[in-house]
Amino acid sequence: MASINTGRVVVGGLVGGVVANACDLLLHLTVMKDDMAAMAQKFGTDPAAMQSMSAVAPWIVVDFVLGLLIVWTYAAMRPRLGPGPKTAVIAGLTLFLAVTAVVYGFTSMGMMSMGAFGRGSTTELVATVLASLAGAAVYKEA
Amino acid sequence: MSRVNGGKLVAGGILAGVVMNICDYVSNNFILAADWEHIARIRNVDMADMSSTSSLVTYVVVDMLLGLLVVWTYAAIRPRLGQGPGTAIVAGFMVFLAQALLMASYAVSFLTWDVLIRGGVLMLVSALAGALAGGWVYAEEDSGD
Repeated sequence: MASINTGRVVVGGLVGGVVANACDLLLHLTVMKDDMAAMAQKFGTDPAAMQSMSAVAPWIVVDFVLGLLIVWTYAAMRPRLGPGPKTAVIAGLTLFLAVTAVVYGFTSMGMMSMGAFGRGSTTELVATVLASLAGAAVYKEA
Repeated sequence: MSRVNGGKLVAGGILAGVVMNICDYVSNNFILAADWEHIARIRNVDMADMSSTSSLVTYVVVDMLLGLLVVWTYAAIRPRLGQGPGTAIVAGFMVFLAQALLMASYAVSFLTWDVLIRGGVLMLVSALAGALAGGWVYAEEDSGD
């Protein structure tokens, strides 16, 4: 069994991270804009603070680390599931489900409305699948 | 390459889910109880909602699903990394890392950094314990385990 090509994981992860960041930026400025404002009001957080660099920076870093994790997961699953976009989507969905389960738990605690959860999860699903496909397209084994 | 053993996946996932439920119950109701009360107070969340039966049931179901997900991940990466507790720990860590990244992105708006760190450490313990238990049950017919 060949070992994971770390160099390609990093390159693919960066590509996946760029795609995830682009999707998140677009979706948070459009689909989730009102939900984010409502959450800021509910939590008593200054909306300006939520859009500040100190609030946005974790999201950017998180998307890049998530991109690396998705491509590493894709690489780890390849011997079982085979190379290609189908395995890339499965790798992304595996991590998406882990994240969404926690968000659903937060929703049940009253953190956000079910509507916001539905919109947020759907948009994150799109972002994750696109990031997975982009990152995995770059990954190759020697 | 043999296929994933669906029966053992379910059995391992249920055991992992039970272990994760026990870990999370102890974490959230005892170790982090004061932290959650603090978060509810500063974020205008009704403590009754946070500790309601529907919330509790949701978390039980969520942990069972996470248990299945951890064992699925273990089964999917086994051919690459080999069978055994080392691979189970990797699978648990992968699921934990995805969750921790999400929580980190919420740290500014909902959680606080100290709760994030304490909660993250306990979440890691839960994920690894679940993965080790689930991975211990999971077996494939042609792998000799």
